Amino acid sequence: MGPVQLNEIKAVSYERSEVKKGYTDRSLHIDLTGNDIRVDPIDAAVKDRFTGGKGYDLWFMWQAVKGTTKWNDPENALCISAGPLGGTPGYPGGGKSIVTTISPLTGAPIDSNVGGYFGPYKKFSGFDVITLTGKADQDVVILIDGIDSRIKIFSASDLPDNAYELSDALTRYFDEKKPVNISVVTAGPGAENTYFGCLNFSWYDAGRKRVRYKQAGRGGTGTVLADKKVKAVVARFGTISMKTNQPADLEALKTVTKTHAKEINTLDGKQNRMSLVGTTHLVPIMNDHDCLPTHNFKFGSHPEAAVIGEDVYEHIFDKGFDGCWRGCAVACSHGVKDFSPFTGPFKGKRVFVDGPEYETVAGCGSNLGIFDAHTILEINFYCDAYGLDTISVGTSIGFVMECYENGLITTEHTGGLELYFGNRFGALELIHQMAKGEGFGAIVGKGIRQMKQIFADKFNADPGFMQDIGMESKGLEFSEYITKESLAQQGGYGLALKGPQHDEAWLIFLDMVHNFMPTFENKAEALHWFPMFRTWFSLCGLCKLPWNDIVPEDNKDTREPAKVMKHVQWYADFFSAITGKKTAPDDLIAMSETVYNFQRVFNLKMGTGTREHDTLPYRAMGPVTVEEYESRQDRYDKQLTDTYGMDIAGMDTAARVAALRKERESQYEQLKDAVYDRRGWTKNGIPTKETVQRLGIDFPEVLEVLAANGVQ
Amino acid sequence: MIQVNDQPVEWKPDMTIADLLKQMPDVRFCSVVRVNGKLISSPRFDVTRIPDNAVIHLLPLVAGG
Repeated sequence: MGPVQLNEIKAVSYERSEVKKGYTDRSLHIDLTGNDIRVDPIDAAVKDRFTGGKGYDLWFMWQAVKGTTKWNDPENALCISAGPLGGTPGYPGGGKSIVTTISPLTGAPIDSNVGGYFGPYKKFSGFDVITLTGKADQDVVILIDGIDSRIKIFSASDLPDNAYELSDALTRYFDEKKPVNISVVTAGPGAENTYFGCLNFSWYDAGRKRVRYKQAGRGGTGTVLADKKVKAVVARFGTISMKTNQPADLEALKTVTKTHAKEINTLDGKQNRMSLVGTTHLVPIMNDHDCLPTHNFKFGSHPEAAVIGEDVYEHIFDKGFDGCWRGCAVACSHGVKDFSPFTGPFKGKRVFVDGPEYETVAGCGSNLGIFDAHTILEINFYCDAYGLDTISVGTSIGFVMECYENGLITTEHTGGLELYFGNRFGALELIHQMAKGEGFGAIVGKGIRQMKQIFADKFNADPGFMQDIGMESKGLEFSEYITKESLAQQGGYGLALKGPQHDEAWLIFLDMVHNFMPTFENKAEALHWFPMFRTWFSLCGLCKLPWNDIVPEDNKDTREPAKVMKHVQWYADFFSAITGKKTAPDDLIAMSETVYNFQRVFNLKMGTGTREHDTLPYRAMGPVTVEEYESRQDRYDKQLTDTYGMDIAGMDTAARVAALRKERESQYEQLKDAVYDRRGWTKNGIPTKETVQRLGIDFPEVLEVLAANGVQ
Repeated sequence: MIQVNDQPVEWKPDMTIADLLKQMPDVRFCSVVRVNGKLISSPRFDVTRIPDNAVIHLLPLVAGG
């Protein structure tokens, strides 16, 4: 690779707005069509109502797009924010960025919460939120330079097209002497050629003297950046301390930061050991509880899962500090050095792999029948370098493999690839094809919803069967948990605003293992409180892991252990210390509820956001096939007889599958009713006028959207 | 003797994790334990025997990825 050559095509100086109590109260808008750069003040009413982070992103997106806007229309906005608490060094998980845009997969707002230093650097450079609209007429790189108070747009040619090399090259180009001052957001060739392109957010790992990255994975945010012809967005900023956010009460901030960090340092080693193994501890746990996706979510466990969990990765991960934010005590962003891929453009070279996390192991390992830690690493590496979401990649290829094994598609359609479960080279070849937009990979890269249509229209595949086994909802591929035995988590996926991602609610163990929510009302209450609290992290620029992945030793003695209220109180203290607003735990829920309902109305504006869009493929609810049923026959037979009072003696397996399906689908509909009621929504899943009035989002344009959907 | 969450607990021959949990207070959220560093999940509590001198930590919650 030669030296980076960038040609400046636009540069503006700006007066850097100092951060006060976590906010700059400024937004940066870049219209790439005309290289227009604009800095606006953020209205106090917007701050009060939307808090920051995802709330700001959604508000500015709402202004930018019409109900008819498609993901690749110039007016689609890609928004990145940090939140008022983001950028607090030492606070565990205290440096996240939140990305939103209209998704190529869902046609509605997608949001993704990601590590790396970009969000804080951007904020400290003077902007709570940036919006990118329009489309450049050539490849460009954007620089937000908070040290020199300049914003520049460069034309870019002959840059590396993969994120792995591009992030490194731009980091050294923009601050060779102090690369730690740089954070780069990149996509990659896979983002250009698929609908589930991700964004890589970098930071410079001073210990290892290399660029690391985390991914804003879900929903195609990278695809949108690539469509706008933006190769990278770079933020540059200097020294950061606890004072940089100019907190209202520095001593209180120091106290709560120290308290939370100390607890994690004390207890993580006794609990999940995330600072050693990241989230790979979940692999054996999910496998043992029949929740690890295996063979396209057909099964929940596999005897070989032991070789892709924490026992293996603990020994493969490179030792050293792995926080994706400065001083984070969880420090779960592990990686593998000196990895040598077997395939693709990096074949035989030595690379550093950032990962894998649980989702990648499950999605690109067990779900594909691949029980090989090194193949999973290679898939992880190429997905990141190409800018592909490992969750959508894994879930999509799992769907393809099951279609292949059932004869719905053949080598005639796949270009000769024999895509049976366990075919490691087949999976890797598909990923290389996705990156190039070539061959069968070009079809897979459109995601499951479009694949179902293409396979039915062009390959004469059975649409009903594909609907049952295609693990997508709202157009987004499922993240990696089996939900068949947890009705609450079926709701956690099916009722999630952006589609089936577990960041809104993860209720499997509370529901399935502990049976703590036996009634619909119990489940509905959980599907209110947990999404509301979890939303709050993305309003503020935080990671959720420190909340409930390491818990106080006396948590079990509290009234509601699942909520980890001691930590919720700490978060309220954290918010108070930074912003100066005296805040109680219930206030956090209220902040989220406003943004959550606004996002639901936003979905409605984009043509989704009603009951019919909260549907699930039946595989998320129960056994689709006779093979699945018979693999857990005792469990299902017992439910039919004991729970539903059926006499099944004369029923063959197919009849039992049908009988169970009828019951489970009915339960899911009842759950929807209960949750909608708890959330203050109509039977059709739309916030009522009273709800939006109560939350203060009854703007005329919101009421217009409600009225257009029959809510007066 | 075994150590459970840093506290000494009497060990008995053929003692399983299920046996141990029966004598522990407030374990309603415990679906996973570490025995000498190795994860054991609730479906295997009945069949996993605890060795003498084991160091055990009860994982308080499983919270998803």
